[in-house]
Parts: sequence; structure tokens; C-alpha cells
Amino acid sequence: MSFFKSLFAKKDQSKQVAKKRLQLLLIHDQVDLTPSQMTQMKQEIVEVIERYLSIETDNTHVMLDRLDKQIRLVGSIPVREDTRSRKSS
Amino acid sequence: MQECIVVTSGKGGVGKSTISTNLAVRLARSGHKVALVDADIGLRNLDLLLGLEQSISWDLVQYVQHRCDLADVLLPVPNIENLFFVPTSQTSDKMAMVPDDMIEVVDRLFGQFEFDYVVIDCPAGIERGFENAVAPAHRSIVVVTPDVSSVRDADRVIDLLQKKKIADIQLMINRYQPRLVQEGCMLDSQDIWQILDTPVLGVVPESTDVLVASNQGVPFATGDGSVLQEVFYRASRRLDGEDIPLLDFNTLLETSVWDKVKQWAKTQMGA
Repeated sequence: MSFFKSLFAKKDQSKQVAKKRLQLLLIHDQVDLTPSQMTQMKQEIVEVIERYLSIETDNTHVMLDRLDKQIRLVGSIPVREDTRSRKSS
Repeated sequence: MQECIVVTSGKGGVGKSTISTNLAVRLARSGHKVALVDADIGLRNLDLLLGLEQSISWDLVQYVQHRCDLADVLLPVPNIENLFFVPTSQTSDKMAMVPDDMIEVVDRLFGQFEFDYVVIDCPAGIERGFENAVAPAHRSIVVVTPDVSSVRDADRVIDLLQKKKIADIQLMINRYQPRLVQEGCMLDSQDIWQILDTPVLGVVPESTDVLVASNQGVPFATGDGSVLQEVFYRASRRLDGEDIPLLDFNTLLETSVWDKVKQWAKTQMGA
């Protein structure tokens, strides 16, 4: 199947790239937040959470997404094993 | 029912004039009394598409400046019953009018002249020309081509229209190339609908007929039979509130053996 993939899948990429770029861009156009402001906000969110929980900062994702005409801030912040055991003890 | 429709896009060169002209032609052919207003002050173009460049005596700006009556500006389009053209000035600039002027003009077109539809061809950009053209509109058609810059500009314009409380917004996707869509290197109509979260009124395929029609000064929607003409026929009926589906380009593309092999391979990959 990798033969087919290399033969036919190549051209499919450009449309998907365009779609993904646009979806991200339009959200950022609308909230009027620069990439550097976004990075800074992520940093600050992580800092606040770290005061209460031990989290895997390398695996943390905070991003803007659009669902049903509403723009929302979506986060995925994995909590470390040690925090959970500490809370339960 | 009387409705004012503004055809806009933000980005220039995407086909606003072609689309507003041919939709207006189609609406008139369905029996509606239609006024097509060129709102691009200083860059007059619709007269060329209609073959009326030699027939203009008075324009919209002269009416606004009280130098003539609105009846003097209204030009019947030859061979298309019920279609009237309102030319703009080729020499003034966008500041020669304010949004209230346009509202007054459209009010009179509906009241005194009893038009069913007023179709306004909006200039490119989002400045005064846009403000003028959008002011009297009940609904809007946003023209977009399947490329990233046009889609971005369309999103901006849709946002501005919504802020002006124009809730009824539909897309006309222009310069569509079904073959490229099939190959996966052009955004398809569903992608654009999803990205912009706005319903699609029609999808216009790239065609040399558009250029030929503008060369000749005869809008292509005056005739019937081609795919392009069918697209505008359906769009006008959809605009009129009828439940007619979009044209499906996949069924129109002749499928070669090679395409079938490719499609089979894709299903094998689960792509």
C-alpha cells in the first residue's frame, strides 16, 4: 500500500494544507490576537495551573478552535502521575 | 416582494461584475423587474458587460448632485425585458456619494419605479465604496474564488456584513475547476462552505465563455444550454427561494480509465 500512497497521495496535500491554514488564520483574524500574544497567553495559563497541579508542560496544547460559529479556547493539559497520587493520599 | 441584493467580495478581480450582471439577467428573464446598479464610482465596468458603453447620458452621481432625474439614469437593457441598468460615474470618486444617497436611490427604485429586485455591484475593498453599496441591502452575495487570499477576504467581508445586520449572506464560488478539485489541489465547495460557515448559492466553473461574453458585450445568461448558463439559472431560482439543488460537477466530469484506477487505489488506502 505504501506504493499506492507515494503514487497517488502527493497531490492531495495542497488542498488540505490550504484548508488547515485558512481555518487557523480566520480564527486568529477574528480574535485579533498575534501569534506572540497567543504564545504568551499559553505560557501564563501554564504558570497558573502549575501553582496547583504538576503538569506535563511539553505535552500541553492550548489553541483556538471554531465550533458552531463560536470561537473557543481549547486546552489539553496532561496532569502528571505524581500529582494524582499526592491528591488521593 | 422587493429585495435589494449587494454583490460583494472584498478582494478585486474575483468576478463580482460578471456574477451580478448575469444574475440580474436571469432574474429579469424569470419575469421580475430588475435594476442593476453599478456602485463602483470612478471605475465603471458594467456598461461594457452589457454592451451599453455608447448609450449612457446620465449617471448615478449626477442624479445625487441634482443634475438630472432618476428616470434619466435608468437605462433599459436591449433584448432583455424587465432589466434596467443604473450606470455610475467614470470620472468622480467614491466620496461623491454617501450611504444615505444610495438608500434614497434604492427607496425610489422600489417605491416610484416598482422594481422587484435591485442588484448592486459593489466595488472591491471595504472603504466608502463598500459602505455606499451595502447601506440599502437586505441580503448579500459574497463572491469567492477557491484560493486562500480570496477566502480570507471573504471572511472579513462576511464579518462586516453581519455587523451591519445583514443576516442573509450566500456564497457564489467563482472560477471553480472541477478537474483540479478532483485531483485534490483546489479547495472544493464544501471546504469553502465549512471554512466560511456560509451557505453556497452557486458554483461557477472556470470558462472561456465568460471572456467571450465580455468581449462581445452580451451577458452569457441571455442564452441557455451550457453548464455555465445552467449554474446561473439555478442560482437565480435558488435566490428566488426555490428548492433547486446545486449542479453536481462530479457527474459532469467524464471519467477516464486512469481516474477509475486512481479512485480504486484511494479506496484501497482508505483515504
